[in-house]
Amino acid sequence: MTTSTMYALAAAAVLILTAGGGVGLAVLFRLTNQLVVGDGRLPRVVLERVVVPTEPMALLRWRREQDEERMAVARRVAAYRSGATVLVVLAALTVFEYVMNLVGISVFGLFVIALVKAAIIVHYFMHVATVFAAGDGH
Amino acid sequence: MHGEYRVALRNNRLGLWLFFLSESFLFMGILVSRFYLWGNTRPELNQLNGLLVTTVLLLSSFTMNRAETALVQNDRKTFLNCLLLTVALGTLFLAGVVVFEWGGHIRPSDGAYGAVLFGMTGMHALHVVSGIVFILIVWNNGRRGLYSSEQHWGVEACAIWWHYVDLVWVFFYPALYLMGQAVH
Amino acid sequence: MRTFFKLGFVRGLLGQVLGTLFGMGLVTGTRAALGYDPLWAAEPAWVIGGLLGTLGFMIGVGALTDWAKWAIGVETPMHHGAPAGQPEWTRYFAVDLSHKVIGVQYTVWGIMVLLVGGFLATLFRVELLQPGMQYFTTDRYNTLISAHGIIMISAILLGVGGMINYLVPLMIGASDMAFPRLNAFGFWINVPASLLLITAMFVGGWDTGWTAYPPNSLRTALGGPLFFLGFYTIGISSIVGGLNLLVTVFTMRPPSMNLFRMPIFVWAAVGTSVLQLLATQLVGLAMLMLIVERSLHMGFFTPVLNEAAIALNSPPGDPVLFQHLFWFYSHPAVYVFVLPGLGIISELLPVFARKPLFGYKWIALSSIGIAFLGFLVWAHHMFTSGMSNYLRLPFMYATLIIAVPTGVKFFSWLGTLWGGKLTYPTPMLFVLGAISVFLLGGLTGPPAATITTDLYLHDSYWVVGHFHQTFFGGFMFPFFAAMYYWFPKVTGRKYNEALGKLHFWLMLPSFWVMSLGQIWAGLLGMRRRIADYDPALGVQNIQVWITIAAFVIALSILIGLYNFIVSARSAEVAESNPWRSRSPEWQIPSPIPEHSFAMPLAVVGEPYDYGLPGSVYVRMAPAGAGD
Repeated sequence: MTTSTMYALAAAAVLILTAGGGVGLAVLFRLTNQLVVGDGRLPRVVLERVVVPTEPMALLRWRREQDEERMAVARRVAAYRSGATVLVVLAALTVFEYVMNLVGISVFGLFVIALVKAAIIVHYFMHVATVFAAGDGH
Repeated sequence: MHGEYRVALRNNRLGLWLFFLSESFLFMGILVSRFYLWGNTRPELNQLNGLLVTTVLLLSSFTMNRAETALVQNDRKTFLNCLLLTVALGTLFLAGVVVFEWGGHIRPSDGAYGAVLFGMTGMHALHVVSGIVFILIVWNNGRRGLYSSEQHWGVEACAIWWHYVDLVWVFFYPALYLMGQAVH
Repeated sequence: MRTFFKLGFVRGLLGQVLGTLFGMGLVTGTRAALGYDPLWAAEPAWVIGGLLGTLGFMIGVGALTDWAKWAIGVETPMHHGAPAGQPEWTRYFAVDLSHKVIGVQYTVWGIMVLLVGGFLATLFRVELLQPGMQYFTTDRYNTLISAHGIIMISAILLGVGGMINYLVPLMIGASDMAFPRLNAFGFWINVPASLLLITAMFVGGWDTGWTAYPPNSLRTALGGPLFFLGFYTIGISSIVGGLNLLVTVFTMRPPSMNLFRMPIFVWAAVGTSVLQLLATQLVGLAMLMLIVERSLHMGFFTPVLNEAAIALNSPPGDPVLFQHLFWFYSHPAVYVFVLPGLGIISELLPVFARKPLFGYKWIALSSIGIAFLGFLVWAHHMFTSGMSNYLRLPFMYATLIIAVPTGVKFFSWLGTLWGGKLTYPTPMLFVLGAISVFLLGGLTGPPAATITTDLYLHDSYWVVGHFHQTFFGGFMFPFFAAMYYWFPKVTGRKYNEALGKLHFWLMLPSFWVMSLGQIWAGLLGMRRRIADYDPALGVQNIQVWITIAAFVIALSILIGLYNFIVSARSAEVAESNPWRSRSPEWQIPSPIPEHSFAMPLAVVGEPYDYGLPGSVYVRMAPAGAGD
């Protein structure tokens, strides 16, 4: 097998594995009634049904409530999405390290890639920052 | 969250991270042994198998993260399902190690290649097993509703322990499969 | 009798026996199921038996009970005091979560292990009285010196654990350690470990010394694997103990106690704990590799290849790798042993000189500096091992640099003594003795660290003399100083001053004779770990002196223990602060009540401003008024 064939095969393998795994998980979540963003689909506000207050102070309060609700949902979606993003980035880095090794990369280079992956895991998955916070939960 | 729990949480987090630091010295010692004995060579291993087990472990890290996120968002169903998914993926990873890496043509008694290959995968697999047991305990307690979205140190510890096991593999995978010249 | 069988200690021992038998049965049963012949294979049976026996002890003693309850979701509130319906003394024989009880448990078990190790030393010292073999076979002699080494090391680690566990939470005004259950676990795992080490002597022994170098350790008798397992188990205790202490110091100080206002012993404990937490993993790994190499033939350290390995083009194993892994822990371990002792010296000197500690910050940072440098010097044990030559010089320089932070401590002690109003009760005598002995160790070190001289001194009695000086100066003398100094605090009674002074005046001169004799014998060419010597070396007289001195040391320690035991039972009641110390633990009653500090601690001044009129270190404030 030539290097270029291996190169292509390997890239394909990782992509298929990660994508396949991802799709598999998505299907599973779907089956358990959850999208990739969890059960937190952005609710559409159906304006017809809502009685918008006309009194200025009440209107202001209504708008703030609406904003807070949207913000909460957005935060929730972002929390789920960040996990998925990290997964994609880590998978891409795994492909990258494999391909770079075929192309020819030093042991040092491979270590640097591993360190980058490690830093991402430590920061996003392991929440290292909480150790230095004054113990205030999430 | 009342004060006593906050103090305990702070101590627990620091303690667990110090333990990670300590464990890192163990795994660094294993990596150093690998470079000391193998130098710039490595045994011929099936690359596809390596990618397969790595991907499985990566996916399990994702489901674990998702379980923790779901609990924080008070989504109990996703939380419990994702824990079970993580157990399944972890078991799949173990099966991959046992079937592909230990079932190949290299035996533990085959010189430095056999010793270090089995030493690295064995020590890592031991940690995977401990992680799976931990997740099952947390799943059982979660099922009984012992964790809330605010107070769930058990889940958090379990999650970061699992990610730590993944983190070790981030270094072990290239050290086993990529670094150095494959020797035929 | 009912009480006896309710004691955690007794249940633990029972658990260990059952666990060991179960492990052996498991191995034999598996062999039977797989159709192996013969059914009985001693080594795997003992290894698995030893492992499950340790687990059995921990289950039996109850160190794992609370965690098992957590795993099934049962809350376990903290329990203070003796178990319901049991007398107070039973606390010391069972899992108790109070750091004061655990500190005493560590210390007492440490002294018992110390007595075993010292007894072994007197045995082989008798053998060395004359050339030729009189009392032991060479194998038995080798077992004795190997066991003396590792048993003494475990005794020192226990003593260090005792001082740290008892004193540090009191010194920083904390209610307890951060993880009380982990603390109890860390102590109790030492008991099965000690028993494993002692068992190892009776199932064939081992002849590798405490360093367990392969390839010898791969071929030695059955005691070998049990010794590796015992060593590994002690390591677990070090790791969890170090972790617990670091968390305690970082999170449980009162807000008003900043890092540079902690008692100086706490700094030493932090340095020790960092080393225990990080370096111990490496020796655990090395021991584990020896075990699997022996039982699964994984060739980490064997430079010989089998045919399958040759077909793979595999590189061979390398015994020097073991030495790197081993010394990466075992050199820092020396600082684990001595840093707390040096901390005790710095802690006690200002009290008995009635003067501020000279250069507080420098002493504090020198402990951390020694801990840090301790990671960078391990290969100075390996100048003759055949490791790469280019590694020698950097390790020599790094080693010599350690003299700088150690020297900082020395000059600070001299500065503290200078112009002080010195008094000489027993603890002060032991502190001064420690300084003199540690100085000997400091002077005999550099020749062994310098490559050119080490090539001749390596594996000679010079090295034996040197490390006994550092361990006695850095641990034994300060440990006894601490025992006498805090005795009134722990027991609430006075020790006998005359017996204490007798203990000191027997121990110090005889130690000088012993260790200088070892140095001298080493210069004449006496090699270490050798059961026999050539009369023509001219060392027999020296050996006689060393042996007599060793017996006098043993006698003096027995006198000290007699003093402690008798005084603890019936001596006069001591006042709460007989030394007029400023440290927090002396501001509360003796013996210390269950909840040490009735009111939160507030730091209002410098810790060591002795002799400065009107200065205050800590104040007990009603809740809320402290900060």
